[in-house]
Parts: sequence; C-alpha cells; structure tokens
Amino acid sequence: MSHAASVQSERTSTGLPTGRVAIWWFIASEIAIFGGAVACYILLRMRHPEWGAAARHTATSIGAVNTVVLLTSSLFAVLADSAAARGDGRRAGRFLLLTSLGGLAFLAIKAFEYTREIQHGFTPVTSLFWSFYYLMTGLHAAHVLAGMVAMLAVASGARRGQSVHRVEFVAIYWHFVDVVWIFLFPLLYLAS
Amino acid sequence: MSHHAPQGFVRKYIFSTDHKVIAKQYLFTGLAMAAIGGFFAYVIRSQLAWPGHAAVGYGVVSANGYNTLVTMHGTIMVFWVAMPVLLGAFGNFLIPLLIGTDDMAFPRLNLMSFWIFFLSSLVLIGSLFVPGGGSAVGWTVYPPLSAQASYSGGMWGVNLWILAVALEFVSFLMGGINFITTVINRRAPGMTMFRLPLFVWEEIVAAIVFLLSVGPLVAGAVMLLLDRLAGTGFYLPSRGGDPVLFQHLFWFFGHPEVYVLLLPALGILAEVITANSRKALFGYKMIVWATIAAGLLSFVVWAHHQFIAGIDPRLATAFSLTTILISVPFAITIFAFVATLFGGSIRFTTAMLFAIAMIAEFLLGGVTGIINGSAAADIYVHDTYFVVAHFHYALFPVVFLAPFAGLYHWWPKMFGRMLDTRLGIAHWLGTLIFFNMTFLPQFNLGMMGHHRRIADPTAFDFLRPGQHLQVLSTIGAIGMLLAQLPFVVNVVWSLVRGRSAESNPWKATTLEWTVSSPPPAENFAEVPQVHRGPYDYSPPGVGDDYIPQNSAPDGDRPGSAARSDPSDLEPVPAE
Amino acid sequence: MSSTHLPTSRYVAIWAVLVAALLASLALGAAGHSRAFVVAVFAVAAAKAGLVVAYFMHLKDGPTMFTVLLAGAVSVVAVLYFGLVPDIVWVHGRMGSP
Repeated sequence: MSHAASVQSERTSTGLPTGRVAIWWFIASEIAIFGGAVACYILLRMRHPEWGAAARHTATSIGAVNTVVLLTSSLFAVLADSAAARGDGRRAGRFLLLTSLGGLAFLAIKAFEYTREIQHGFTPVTSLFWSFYYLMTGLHAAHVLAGMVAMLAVASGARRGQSVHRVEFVAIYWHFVDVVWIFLFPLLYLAS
Repeated sequence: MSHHAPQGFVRKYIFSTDHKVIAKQYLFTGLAMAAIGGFFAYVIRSQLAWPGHAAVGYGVVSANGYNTLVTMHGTIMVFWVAMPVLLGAFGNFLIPLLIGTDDMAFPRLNLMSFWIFFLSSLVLIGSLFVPGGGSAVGWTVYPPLSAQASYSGGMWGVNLWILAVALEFVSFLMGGINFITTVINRRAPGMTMFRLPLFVWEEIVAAIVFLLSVGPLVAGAVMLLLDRLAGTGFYLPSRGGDPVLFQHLFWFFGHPEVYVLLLPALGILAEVITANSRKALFGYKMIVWATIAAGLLSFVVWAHHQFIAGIDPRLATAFSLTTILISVPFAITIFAFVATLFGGSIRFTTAMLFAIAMIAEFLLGGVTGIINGSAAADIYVHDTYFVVAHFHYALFPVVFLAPFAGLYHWWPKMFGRMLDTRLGIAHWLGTLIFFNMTFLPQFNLGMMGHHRRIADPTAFDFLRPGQHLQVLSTIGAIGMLLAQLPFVVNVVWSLVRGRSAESNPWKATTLEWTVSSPPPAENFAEVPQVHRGPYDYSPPGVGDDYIPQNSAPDGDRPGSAARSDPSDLEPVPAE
Repeated sequence: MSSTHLPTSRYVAIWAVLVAALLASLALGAAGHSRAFVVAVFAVAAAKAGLVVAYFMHLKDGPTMFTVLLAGAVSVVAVLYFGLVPDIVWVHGRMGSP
C-alpha cells in the first residue's frame, strides 16, 4: 500500500519527460541521415564546379517563398508548444493545425516547382546535380509529410485534452525539419 | 499484482508488448536465421573443398550460386543473427530487468521494432526466390557491380536485399532509441549510471554508435536504389559519380557496426565472468571509459577496409594510426576481464567455459587485426583468406561464443528451466575444436595468396598446393555444424522436461536474479531500491559470498565497510 | 523539468529576424559568387539554424545532454565529410575526373 506500484511509465530518472529524450535521440539519427546526403552532395559539388551552371536553374524565388512558409510554420509550432506547456490543449491543437497547413503549403509549392522543372527538362536523370536536388528535396519533403501526419494525430488528441505533452515532441521534430531546409535552401538555390 | 485482464494467446505470445516475450521472438528468429546462414556456410565450404561436386543437401554450386551463397551467408550472419541475438534478444530481455524497471520506455515501439525486423527477414529470404535469384554482389554491395542489374544479372534479388537491410535498419533504429531512452530515464531509485551492470553500458554505447553511424549509409542506400531503379548516376563515373563514395558510406557504418556487435558480447562476458569468479569486475570505471573511447574511435577507422581500393595514400596512413589505436581500449577491457578471473573462485559452468573461450579466440582475431590494420602489411593480405580468417576469429566469438555464454547463463531466468551441463560441455568442446580446425588453416591459405570470393580454387595452379587445407577447413566446418546438435537437444529437452530453475541459481548480484525464473510479467512486484554497485561479490564479514544490488545499505550491516552511498536515493513513501 | 517558454511576442520577434536573415542571404547570393559570398550565405544559414535550435527547440536553457548530442551528431557528419575530401574532391588524374 505504501510501496510504489511496479508499473513505471511515469518514472523519469533525469526529471526530463521521456518523450523529449526520445525525440532528441531520433533527431540525432536523422542528422546522420540528412547529413550523410548533404555531405555527399557537397563533396561531389566541390569536385564538379560545372554544377554551378545547373544550380542557376533552380527557382530561387520559389525556394525563398518556401523558406518563409516553413519559418512561419515553425513559429506556429513553438506557439503550439507554449500553449501546451500552459496546459491549453485546445489552443495547442489549433496552432498545430496551422503548422500542418504550412507544411501542406510547402508541399504544394514544391509540387508546383517540380512540375515546372520537369517541364523544362530538368528530371532526376538530367545530370548528377539534379539527381541530388531531387534526392535531397524529396527526402526532406517526405519528412515534411511525416511531420504533418504526426502533428495532425497529436493535434486531434490535444484538442480533447489527451496526451498534450506530445505537442512538445512533435514541435521539436518539426523545427528539425525546418532547420534542414534552412541549409538545403542555400545549398541548392543560392550557392551557384 | 498485475492489473491486466487475462490476455489471449495472440496478445500474450505474438503481438506482445512485454520486452521478455519480444526478446524471445528476436532470439528464435535469430537462431533460425543462424541455421540458414550456417547451412550456406556448409555449402560454401563443400564447394571449396570439392569444387564441382554436388554439395549434399544442396546440389552443384554454380559460379553465380557461389556468389549468392557468400553474399547471403555474410548478410544473414551480421544483420539477421548477430543484431537480433546480441541487441534484440539479450538487450531487450535484460535491460529493463538490470535497471530495475517493468518494461522498455516504449513497449509498443518495441513491438513494432520486432515485427518490422521479422518482415525484413521474410523479405530477405524471399529475395532468394525471385527471378534472377538472390543478391550475388557481396554483403558489401559495391557499385558499379550493384548499381546496374545488367552487371550482376539479378534485378529484384538485389532490390529486395536492399529493402530488407533498410527495414532491418529501421527496426534497430527504433529499438536503439527505445534502449537509450529506457536506460536514461527508467532506472530504479539508487541505480546511478556507475551502478549499472557493465552489460547495460555496453548495450547503450552500442546503440548510440549504431544510431549515429547508420545514417550516411541509409542515404547511400537510397542513392544506390535510385541508380538501380531510376537511372541516376551517383556511383557511376561516366555520369560524374564515384563508386568509391559508396565504399566510404558503407564502411563508415560497417566498421562501427562490428563494435555494435562486440560491445554487447563483452557485456555478456562481464556478467558471466564476475558471477562465476565470485569477484567484482576489475576496473569497472576504467572499462566504462574505455568503452566510450572505443565508441568514439570507431568512427575514425573505417577506411582500413579500403586500403587497396585506390584511396588517397595519406588517408591510409591516418587510418592505420587510428586502427592501431582502437585496439587499446579493447585490450584494456579484455585484460580487465582476465584480471577479474585472477584470484577468483572460478566456477566452470558452461557459461563460464564459453566466456573464457570467447576471450581466447577473440584475442587471435584481435592480433591478426593489427596486421590488417597496418596499410603496408595489409597490401599483401587484403582480400585474401587471411582477412576471412581474421574476421571469423573476431566475429565467431562475438556472434556465437559470447551469446552461448549468455544463453547458458540466462536460460534459467528466461525460461525457468536449467540446461544440462554435460550436453553443454559437449557443445563447447565440439564447437571449439572444429571452429579452430575450420579457420586456422585459412590464415595459411591467405598467406599463400588465396583470394576471397573465388568459387573454384583448383582453377588456379598456384593454389593447388593448398587444397588439402581447404578439405581440412571444410571438415572443420561440418564438425562445427554437427557440434551444435548437443545444444539443440539441450534446449528442447530443457523446455520440455528440464529441471525447474530457482530465482538465483548462480548466486549473482544483479537485479534480474532477485525475481523469479522466469520473472513475472511486471518484473518487480515493487520498485527496487538500489543501494550498491553491481558486483558486490565475496564481501568480507558476510555469510553469503555475494550481496544483491537491492540489499540494504552497508551501514546497516554489522562488521563490514560501508561501500555504498544511499544519499542519492529518492525518499521512499512513509508507511 | 519543463522547457523555458518565452512570451509570444519574443517568438514573433525571432521569426522576424529569421525572415530578415533570409532576405539578407538572398541579397548576398545575388551580389556575388566568389568564395567569400558563399561563406557569408552559409554563415547566415548557420545563424538562422542556431536561432531555431536555441529558442524554438529550447536548447538554450535545456539540459546539456541535448546540446552535446546535437554537437555529437553534427561532428559525426563532419568526420565523414572531412574524411572523404581527399578521396572524393581531390581526384585530379583519377579515371573519369577532370
């Protein structure tokens, strides 16, 4: 009666929420994945200075718009996080929805951009530069999509007051996706 | 005290979130894959000893068939035996018990990890039956051979192989995050990091090394798949790509991976050796720091696999240095184990026999690694059977001898039954004798110039003088496989008619031995309170020759030196 | 232990700085293509990432473990990159390279 029950799902030896620990380790593994792809790109880009010409054909203005879209969605994510920390699940859920909308806008703009590029003859097999472009932005887009799905799942629970602590974890993940893009943008659009 | 309703068969044994059940699922899947991988090894050896003759139970081995066998043997043993047994089975079963908690931090993630792993094994086996046959491009899957189906003659075999490995990576990434988070956040009160049994430290460092090293290969594998399926040219020189890039990406993971396997094996040894020497681990903290150092160093040795690939010679110098360096922390650990044995009251249980054998055999693997790791010497032996012998002397102890030690040690805890000692000794003796018979001659073969991955040695005149060594090696391999029969009989007999196991048959100190064999679903009826380190053996002035980790602090024990510090305990709720 | 949370206005201010940094990098990218400009553009990107990591991901006042972890993961990638430069970038004379 006085000894702690054996089920320890609330236990935290460090005082940190277990989910936060987990999400950071997950992000560390993702840094290795994206970092690997980016490192390969930079290596081969430095070997092939002629890729500069190809890089000029990426649509800088579209990329810039997408950057603003993601930055804004990150803002909504941190506001969702703050709301959740205050215990306001409904507000947090609403901000997460806005964040997801940002993600959706990003994907839509990206789709439009891909279409345009393919129509101009720049496909994944046009040259190795374009292979990397589609690889890295494609990988990133897949993570945007996964993030959206996760956020919508957490938002639907949070709005009803369930598992509000998960808002923080999914927001941290979303910021990571934003940070990756912060590096991809100059790599693929500006550094020509 | 469980508050779950009685569970049906499916929830209890198939889709269970209980780490102990999941551990056994990993164990039996791994052992089944070991049988397949071992069978492939037998066919390979049969072909090498008697080229062109039908291998009994398989048939005549074609050249491409040989390549497939070699590819699959290596792939299966590393990814579908070593990983699930060392990390999936032992890690899953022991970590929650050793740290004093009821399950992993994310039990449903754990469930998903296993079933993704199981799916990956189905995909891998399935890849053998597609048109074009299984992958025959080596477990290292180097482009350009692997980058275009027309080069290797197999399309879907290689694609499915890549998919299977990708799924396996996902499974162990999820598992790794689970392990790390659990150890960080679910330790019982009083279980500080430096009171953790060494096994837990080894598993965590291994999980961290895996988690950080596999990423670039995931990217590289996607690039390889795109080359194969989409016509890109990441690894094709004609398109501006570079095949050596893939080699680097592969080995950047591939080398840390062998330490991902070695560390848990050393962890198993620590537990078995301390319990069976009745002695505290020598230099526990030193071993922890050495393990962390080895984990860090493991990231800067990879290119020793590429010394003759045409890499920049200056890289070869740098990587020779780091490779020699990394032997130091492992030497420290092994010597610490030997120092633990020294002066101990040795108990030759079957587990202990396997543990000591592991050290002896692994030493041979380690010292031959020095030759391979020095670029100048490696030029001669690279890609020969010298390397094959080296890595089997390193990997077989890690993948089989240490897990056997672990199985004989923890079988009573896992299944509540004892294993027979005489069958265990027969297993041990047969395995050791025939293992050495198989691989010792291969050092000679390598020095003779016998290259790897050759289906027919008799096609080369200069190799003919070594053919008797091939036959000797094959007899050893057949013997090795037959030597596993006592183990199979032992296991089956134990499960069906074995003697019931008490909770602490080995009189060991760590927390898993404080509960019944097998443990109840929730592991501990009450949260354990840890008061001391993990290896309080042969304490002076105490009747038993050991003190479990959750025994009351020394201050309460008359006549013994206070060795624990209860000040870091959380307060227990008042009665 | 929960993360430090700033008032909404602070986060909006940081967002504004991020967007301004984006505009700055656009200007830099358009201004020139020499090495100095490329370095500057990536410096801005790093600064932006730093802001997101420190404030949006709460690493500034968070436990050291996460910062160390982040640094560790980035270091691993750096080791990969620098280890590969001799072999992948400096390849003049190798078959198929300029």
